[in-house]
Amino acid sequence: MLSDIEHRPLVASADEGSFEGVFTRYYPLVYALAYRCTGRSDEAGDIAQEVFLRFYRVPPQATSPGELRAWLCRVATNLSLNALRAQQRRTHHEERAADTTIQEVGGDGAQSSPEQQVLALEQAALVRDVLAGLPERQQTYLLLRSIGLSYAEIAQATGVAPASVGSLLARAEREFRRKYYERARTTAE
Amino acid sequence: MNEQEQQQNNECLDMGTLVSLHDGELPADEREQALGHIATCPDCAADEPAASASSRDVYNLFSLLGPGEGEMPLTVTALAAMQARLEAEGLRENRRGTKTLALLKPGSARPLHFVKQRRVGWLAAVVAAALIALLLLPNASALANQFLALFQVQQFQPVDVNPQNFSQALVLDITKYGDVDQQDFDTGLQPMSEAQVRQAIHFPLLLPSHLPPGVGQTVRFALNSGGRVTFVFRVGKARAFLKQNGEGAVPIPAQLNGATYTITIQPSVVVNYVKSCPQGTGIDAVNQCSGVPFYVAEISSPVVQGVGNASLKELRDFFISLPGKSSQMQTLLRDIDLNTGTVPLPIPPQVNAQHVTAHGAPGVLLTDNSVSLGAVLWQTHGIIYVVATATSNATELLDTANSLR
Repeated sequence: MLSDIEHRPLVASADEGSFEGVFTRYYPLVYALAYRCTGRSDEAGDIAQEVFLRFYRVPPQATSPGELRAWLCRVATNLSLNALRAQQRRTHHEERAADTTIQEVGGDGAQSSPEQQVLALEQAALVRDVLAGLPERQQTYLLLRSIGLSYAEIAQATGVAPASVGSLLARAEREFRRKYYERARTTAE
Repeated sequence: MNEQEQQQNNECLDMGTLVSLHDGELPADEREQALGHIATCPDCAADEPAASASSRDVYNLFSLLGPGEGEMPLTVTALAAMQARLEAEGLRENRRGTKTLALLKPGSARPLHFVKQRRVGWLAAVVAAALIALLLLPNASALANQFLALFQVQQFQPVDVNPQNFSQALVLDITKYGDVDQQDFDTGLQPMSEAQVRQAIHFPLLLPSHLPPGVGQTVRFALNSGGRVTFVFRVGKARAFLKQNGEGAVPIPAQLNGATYTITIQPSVVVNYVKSCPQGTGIDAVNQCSGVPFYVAEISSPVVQGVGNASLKELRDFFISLPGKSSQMQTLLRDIDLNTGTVPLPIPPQVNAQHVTAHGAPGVLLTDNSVSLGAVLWQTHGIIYVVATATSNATELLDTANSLR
C-alpha cells in the first residue's frame, strides 16, 4: 500500500495560494491513483490535471483535510475507471502487455532482470484486467484502499456508512482474489 | 459482561470485522470485543490470520500496478503545467492582472488527452547560453531564447558551428510568425540571501563542498523568478513576412494558425563564489570581483504546453521547412529531439566538448584551453545544473560538479 500523505492544515478556498498548496500536497496521491488504475503515465498525468482543474473551477465544500482528500480521490477514481473501461474496450490485456513499455511497469523495474520485468508486466496487466471486471463499487473500494485511504475517507468518497466499509472491502477483496487466481490458473494452463 | 454482550461475543465474527481488525480500523471497544472473541473461538482464531493474509495478498498484487519511485513526475513540474492550463483556459489571472492568453478563443482548447506537457530547456538554455555567452560565445543567447524552448531537457548534445556567422545564421525571429507575450516573464537576476533563495525555489539547493583552487569563499545568490512566455502562431503574419522575403510559396500548415505554446518557468538560482566584490556589483559582473570566477546555476526544467491543433513537432517541422536558412540552423533544429529531450549546444571549434557523467547523470563538459574556461552541464530529476569556472582542467571541474550537496 502506498504510504499515506501527511495531513497538514487545509486552506479552504481555491485562491491562487491555496490552490498551489492543495496541488502540491495532493498531486502525488491523485497521480498515483490514476496511474495505478490506468497503468499509463501520460493518461495518469492528464487525469490528475483534470481532477485539479475541476477542483479549481468548483472547489468542494470540504471542512477537513480528510474530506478534501476524499473528494479528490473520488473524482480521480471516477475519471480513472472511465479511462480503464476505455482501455478495456480498445484492447485485450495481452495486446496491452505487448504494447506497454517496460518502464511503465510498477515497482522497481530498473533493478530486476528482463524476465522478472516481463513477469511483473504480465501480472500487472492481469491485476488491472481483473479489477476492470469487478463491479464499479468494488473497483472503487479496492483502489481507494490500495492508495492508503482510511475507512472514514473511503466512506466519505463513496457515500457509504463508515461502519460498512470493512464488510464492503472484505467482499471486494474476496471477489478480486477469486477472479484473479481463476484467471491466473487459466492463463497458466 | 451483560447478556447482550455475551451473546454478541458468542457469535462468530464476519469477514468485514476481521478485515477491519486487520486494517486497524475497528473502534477501540469493538476491537476489544473482537479480540476477546477470537481468544475463545477456535473458528475465528483460524479465520483471522487467513483474512489478514488474503487482504495483504490483494494489496501486494495492487502494488504491482505502480507507480514506482522513479515513475512519479515532479510535483513542481506538474504544477507549472497546471498553471499553464488554467491560464490557457482563461481561468487564472496572471500576475499583472491580464489574461496572457486572451487571444485564445473559448472552447478552442483541445480535449484533455491531446494536451501534452513537455519539460523544456528554455530557461536552462538561457542560463546555459548566458554562461557560455559569458565565457565563450557572445550572441548565443538569442538562439537559446528563440529555439531551445521547444523540448525537454534530458541531455545535451554538442553541435559544431562556425563562429564567423554564428549569430546571424542561426537566429530566426519568431515574432515574424506570431505574437509573443513575455511581459510576465522575469528576464533578470535579483540578488538575494541564501534563505530567500531557498524559500523561492521548489527544489533543494545544492552547493559545492569542494571548490577549485583560487575560488573565493564569499557566496552570492541571485534569483530568476521565472514566469510565462506565450507564443501564438499567426498564419497571416507569417504569410506576410514570407512574401516580403520572396518566400510566399512556402506552404504553411493550416493547423498552425492560432496554435499557442505557453512556457511556464519556475524560479531558478545562480550562485557565485568570489573573494571580494565592490558593493552593489551584479552577479554577472565577473571582471569587477576578485578571485577565480565560479558559478553554479540550478534551473527547474520549465514546461511548455501546446494548446490548439498543432503539436510542437509540427511547429518545429515548419521552421525546418523554411528555405534560405543556414544548414547550421537546420542542423540545430533537427537535433532538437522532442522525444529524448536532447538539447543541441552550439559549440565553436576552439571549444572542446565531451560527454561525461556528472553527479551520476549524463552531461557535457565544455573546455576552452585557449582562455582556460570550462563548464559542465547536466540534468537530473528535472533540475538542470551548470557549473562553470575559469579552468580547463576537466578533472577539477568534474570533481567540483560531483561535490554538489
